[in-house]
Amino acid sequence: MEYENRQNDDIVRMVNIEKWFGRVYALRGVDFHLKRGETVGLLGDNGAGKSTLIKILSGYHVADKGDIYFDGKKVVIRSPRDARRLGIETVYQEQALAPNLSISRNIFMGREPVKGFGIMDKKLMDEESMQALQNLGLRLRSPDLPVVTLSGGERQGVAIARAIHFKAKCVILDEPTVALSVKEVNEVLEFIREIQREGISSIFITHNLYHVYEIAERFVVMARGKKMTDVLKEDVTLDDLSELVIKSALVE
Amino acid sequence: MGSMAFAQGKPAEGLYFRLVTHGGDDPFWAVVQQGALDAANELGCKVDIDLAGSDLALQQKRLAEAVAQKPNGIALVINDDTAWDKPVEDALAAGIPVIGINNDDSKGPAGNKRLCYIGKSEERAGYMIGLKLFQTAKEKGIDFSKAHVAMPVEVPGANYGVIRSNGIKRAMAEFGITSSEIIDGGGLEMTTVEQRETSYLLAHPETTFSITNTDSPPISIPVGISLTAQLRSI
Amino acid sequence: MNQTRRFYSFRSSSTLVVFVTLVVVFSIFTPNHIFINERNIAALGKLFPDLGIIALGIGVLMICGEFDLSVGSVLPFCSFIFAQQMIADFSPFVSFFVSLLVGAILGLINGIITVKTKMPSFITTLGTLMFWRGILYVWSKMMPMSIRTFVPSGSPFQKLMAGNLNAYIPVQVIWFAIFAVILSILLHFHRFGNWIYSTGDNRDAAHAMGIRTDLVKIICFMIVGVLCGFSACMQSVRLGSFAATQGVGFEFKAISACVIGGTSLRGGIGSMTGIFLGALTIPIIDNGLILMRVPVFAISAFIGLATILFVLLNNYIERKTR
Ligand SMILES: Nc1ncnc2c1ncn2[C@@H]1O[C@H](COP(=O)(O)OP(=O)(O)OP(=O)(O)O)[C@@H](O)[C@H]1O
Ligand SMILES: [Mg+2]
Repeated sequence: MEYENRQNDDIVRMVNIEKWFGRVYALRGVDFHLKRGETVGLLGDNGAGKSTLIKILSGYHVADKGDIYFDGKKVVIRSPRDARRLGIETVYQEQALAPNLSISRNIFMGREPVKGFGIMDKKLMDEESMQALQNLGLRLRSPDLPVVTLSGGERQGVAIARAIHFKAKCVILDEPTVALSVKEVNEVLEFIREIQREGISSIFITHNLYHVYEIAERFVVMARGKKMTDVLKEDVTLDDLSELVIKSALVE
Repeated sequence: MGSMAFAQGKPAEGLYFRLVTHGGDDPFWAVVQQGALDAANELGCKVDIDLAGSDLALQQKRLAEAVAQKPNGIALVINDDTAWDKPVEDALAAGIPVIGINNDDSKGPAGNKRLCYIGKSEERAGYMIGLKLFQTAKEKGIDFSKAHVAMPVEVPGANYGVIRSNGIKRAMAEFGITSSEIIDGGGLEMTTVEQRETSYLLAHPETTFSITNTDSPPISIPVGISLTAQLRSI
Repeated sequence: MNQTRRFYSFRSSSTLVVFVTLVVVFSIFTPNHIFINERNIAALGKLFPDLGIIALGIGVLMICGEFDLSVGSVLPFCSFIFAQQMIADFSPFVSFFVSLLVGAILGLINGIITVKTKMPSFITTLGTLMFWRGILYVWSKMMPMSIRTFVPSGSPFQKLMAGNLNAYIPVQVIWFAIFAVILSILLHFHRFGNWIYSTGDNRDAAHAMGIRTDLVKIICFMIVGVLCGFSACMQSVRLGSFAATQGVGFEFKAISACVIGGTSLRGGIGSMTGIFLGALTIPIIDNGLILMRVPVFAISAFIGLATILFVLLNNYIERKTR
């Protein structure tokens, strides 16, 4: 049942990651890997350390111990800038968008195309934003709308369109379906399928097993800062998975 | 002063005095402090000055602290008619001489037990400035029947300002001037003051006299004769 | 109808409407239409930029999510440096650049303290407000310093900082306009502007997208510092002296101007047009009301009222357009 590790296929490999927050031992030596084009569901109870693990990958936190390999090479990720340069994009739990800024300003946040002297190429930004959203099947009225006027699903769409537009190699989705209506959830799951069709690897964190079971090809279950289980979808049913998550949370 | 340094013992050798003022963010008190230090130097004594940023409660605390240090004398700015009655009595009872400076109780010795008051009478200062100004104007042939006096003040409601304007009004009465207005100069910041006064003078072209009670540089606006009197001195 | 909606979707529209209304009302109802008299306009234009230029910087900083209360002390501090340099025989131009540099450094200090301690800038700059004022009082002994002999009326530097273009237009207005245009380009067209908005609107997102939010904030603090240095020189040259009471109360007046211009107190929202109009509106209310012979003691009440009403109005419009 253990997943067989073929290193050269991995886009991401994290080895023996440890992280302390003051006196909280949040990650206790976690190994994690992600294959090219693969979608992994990262599961576990509240406080298991899921967000911490992926925030280390995205440069938001720095690990106290452990190594990260990206695309076969050992890398040091000290900041979100470093992660973005490698092609790691995050759609955060806490919304990776600036609510009062326009769609196009959000999509190009931190990577604005310029015409010279740092002046933004607004026309290019608008056109490419609309194109990126359309590729995802999202038709929005104008690239100038502030993000706060969009629905929850549309907002995740903007964040995902941004990841795809910048040719991410690995997209991290931290609870992208939380607090969304059924219709919006389906929209977002459709966006994630678009990521898969583009051949981009992704990590999908959620508490909703129904959402992740439909989409992911492999599941990693964490509890109290450790990896408990790593299984392929073909080896588990939805019920097995549900039991695994509950059991891991209860072990010692 | 150099020659005095060689004299056997300066007149106030070994004495310690304290100046309790309401002053604060205002260059006026820098000058006073310098003067106090110079005097102390000359007389061979020591002096400390307390500032309270126009906070009456804080100034009272400063006085209490000064009394506790048992200096040889305290000079106090008596900027309130009632607040200082008891603290001064207490200090005197403790055997510390207290005198008033800069501002006095409006009823003088009848209002406060301080040993004496050194400084000008605010009312009389206002009166004298008014007299001088109106006298000059009369010689120039200004018509007093329609005259208007503007009195911008830096700290609206401050005791000394009110008393001073009473003096100005007494002088006005002698010259038969009836129209006057006290205006809020907008504090100590000069751009604000200038903006206020410029606007006021434009809006009130009948203003014949402007008697300013602030530290800001005099403002020259050609309205009638606008004379700006700096009413600041101990 | 659609056009009206579109118009109101800009936050600064309410400021514009109120601004135009005020100008029209004051022009018509002041005795002898003295509001639009050239002497009044020239007097306004000469005086309001002292605070106005600083308010432009404060607006940018507020969009970035921070406050700077220390401007009330940084301004006289720079003014003191400016006067001291000239007394030490440096040319007015050299002294001017030293003053700008000192402003930038004081801004840098504000920025670094705020960013590193992660304390609200309302607190850190309240600290530096009092700190620099204390240092200034001790250092200058609060004594006024005349600089008239170094920048006499008609000298090139005096003309540059406090001269007149013509009877209506004092040079201070031109400086105000120049800074408004520069900051407007920075905020709305330059990529750094997008970083300012993102940092103020959602710092985590901006950070996650690779924007160095700490650096962005520090630079905004420095912009305010430099503008304080500029305004300090402009004011000193006009007054012909340094005075320790320069800048008293500017900190809250500047914030109030920005709020009237539709800048959010929580960051991420605001525009240069709004801030520009806000910086003009307060002195116009002050001036217009006095011209209408409203008792001068009541002016403060009107400005306080206006600030609160603007915040309510902006919140209302925000809810309407969402
Ligand atoms: N910035 C932080 N400072 C201190 N402690 C933190 C921080 N971030 C996370 N923790 C702690 O680390 C542990 C793991 O948290 P983490 O957010 O990674 O859990 P999670 O699996 O994502 O949970 P959830 O499903 O609730 O999002 C928790 O005990 C949490 O309190
Ligand atoms: Mg989490």
